[in-house]
Amino acid sequence: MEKNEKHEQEILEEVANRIAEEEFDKEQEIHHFSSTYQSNKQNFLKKVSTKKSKTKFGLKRVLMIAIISIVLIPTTIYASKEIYQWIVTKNNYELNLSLYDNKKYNHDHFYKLKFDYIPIDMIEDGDSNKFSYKGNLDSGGISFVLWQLSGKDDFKELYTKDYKELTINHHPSIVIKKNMMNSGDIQFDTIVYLFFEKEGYVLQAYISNDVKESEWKKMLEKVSLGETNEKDATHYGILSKDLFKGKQPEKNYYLPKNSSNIHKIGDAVNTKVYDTQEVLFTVKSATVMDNIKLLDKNNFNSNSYEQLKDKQLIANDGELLPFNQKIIKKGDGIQTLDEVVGERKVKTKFVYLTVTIENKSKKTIKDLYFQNRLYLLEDSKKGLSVAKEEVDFTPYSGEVDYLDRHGEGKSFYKMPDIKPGEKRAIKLGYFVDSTQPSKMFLPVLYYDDIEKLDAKGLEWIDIGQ
Amino acid sequence: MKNHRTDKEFFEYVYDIYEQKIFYQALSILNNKEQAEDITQEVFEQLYSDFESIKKFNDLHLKKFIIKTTKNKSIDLYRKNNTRIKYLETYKTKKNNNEEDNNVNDYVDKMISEQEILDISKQLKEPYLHVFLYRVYYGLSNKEIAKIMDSKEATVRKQFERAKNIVKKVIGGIHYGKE
Repeated sequence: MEKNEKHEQEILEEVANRIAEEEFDKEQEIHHFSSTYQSNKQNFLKKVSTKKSKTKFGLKRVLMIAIISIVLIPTTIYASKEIYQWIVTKNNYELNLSLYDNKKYNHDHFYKLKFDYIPIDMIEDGDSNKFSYKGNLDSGGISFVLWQLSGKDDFKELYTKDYKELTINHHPSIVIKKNMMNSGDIQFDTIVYLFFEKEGYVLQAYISNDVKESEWKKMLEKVSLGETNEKDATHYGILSKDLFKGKQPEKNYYLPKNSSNIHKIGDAVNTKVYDTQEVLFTVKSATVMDNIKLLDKNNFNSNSYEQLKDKQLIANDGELLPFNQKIIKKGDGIQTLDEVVGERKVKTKFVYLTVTIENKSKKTIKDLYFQNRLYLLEDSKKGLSVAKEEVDFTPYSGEVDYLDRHGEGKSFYKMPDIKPGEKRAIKLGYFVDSTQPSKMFLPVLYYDDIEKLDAKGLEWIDIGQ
Repeated sequence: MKNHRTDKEFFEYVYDIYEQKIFYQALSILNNKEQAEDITQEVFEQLYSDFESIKKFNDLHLKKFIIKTTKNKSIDLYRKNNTRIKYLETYKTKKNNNEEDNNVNDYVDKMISEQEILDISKQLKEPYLHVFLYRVYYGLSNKEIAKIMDSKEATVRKQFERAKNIVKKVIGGIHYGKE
């Protein structure tokens, strides 16, 4: 069978299996069984209740049980005392937490996390065990991950400033303070591990700096694992050895400066959308602006616009304002932490592009999305690569910040259909800071993940100013 | 699985929950009440002979095991009833590796989401639903299905194609590669 056919068959079988289960559970009218059936059933139940269930013990098994008992007896004596052991080692900023326990959990019960205290104004995002403040939805807050223990479990944390061991509501716990600088004001800089000894789970809490210590402590004191059925159980992870193997070093990908895939403003670039329909894509013009008052406010992507408004970088008359930016040198989290190595005054800018897309195919282009972000590429000996400089904040959002004739809500990037032969002009734009315009490159209608900058079919337009 | 103090209590509990369901599943294949009752009894006998392993099952696995046992016994009996039919497709029941694996994880990484299944159930109306189940789940041939559903073989063939298309439409391109 062809691979595809086989895959299709697997999918059909899975669908069928699950529909069969649903059919099985459908309510039907009660069937009244015949008297023959009823008397057979009674005989069966009689047979079941009189017969001892037979278990055969082979010699080997008897020996095994004997050996296991010998091994287990000493530990059961200590069962009333500590049966687990935290081993915490801190090497510079790398913290390793090993949890040994002599108890073998069978994990034959299912649990659901219960939160008896949730800070006021905090709400849970669906049933995800993630909580955030109403005024700061989907950002900051506190989120929980449950780990099932398998006997010997190791957790690792980098960027550890300090830690302390304490007992939270009878649960041995460890509170870790981290020191890292991400761009933005929200830092998840507190991690707490709570050990649920009886159930054999560890609860890990990621806590952002917008939650007061008194609040999260109260929340953790009131968290418990309630027994439930399999369907309602909280999803948990099982530690695997590879999980904390450490991150692979990031690869640098380069785009040769003389690559034939780099085009200029004004070039008509021939490309295919969705691998089928041929279009000509041209960046007609790119302008760097200091004021956005002439642009239609409804065409801004609300995320970026609101964020800049909140940070008071857009004045009421549309003027884009300057701010102080810290330059950060990233640490490796083991030997070094992130540190501020400089500060500079930069200006907020907006790059306004006029683009045309001409449909060269014989079919209408439907469902076309304009979602490519702007790339910031730096020149080096080996070629162009993604700019690595870290700062505490930049208006550059990694999204399309402005798009005319855009779709609504989640389909913001969706554009109207383009008929065969039609040439459509589109206005779009990106927020940047004044250090970035010289590095700007735009991918041409590319929908795969961009990792290799010189991937086949990935065309670039150099819009650097 | 709840702890039942005695074997009898365990089986009374299983009767309580599954007896009607087993009967109706068997009936959907056999179209004969006496035979569906016989199958119901046989399924319980089977559970009893596998008691050592099913005792360890949780509710969900027990249910899956019961559905599968009912399916296999119903199909066997159906085929005995219909030895005259020449099978166009080979019928085989594959042993499912998850059958005795009492682990929550095999419900986590499914290929198809609950939502997709829900949408399929909504869109797959009779007779397509049963044609689909008979073909894919019970492994019956078009001829056999036509007999059970009292329709023509050609009709069943068309209905199955239609059912497959409905499933594909819901699940879409993600699983089926590019159109």
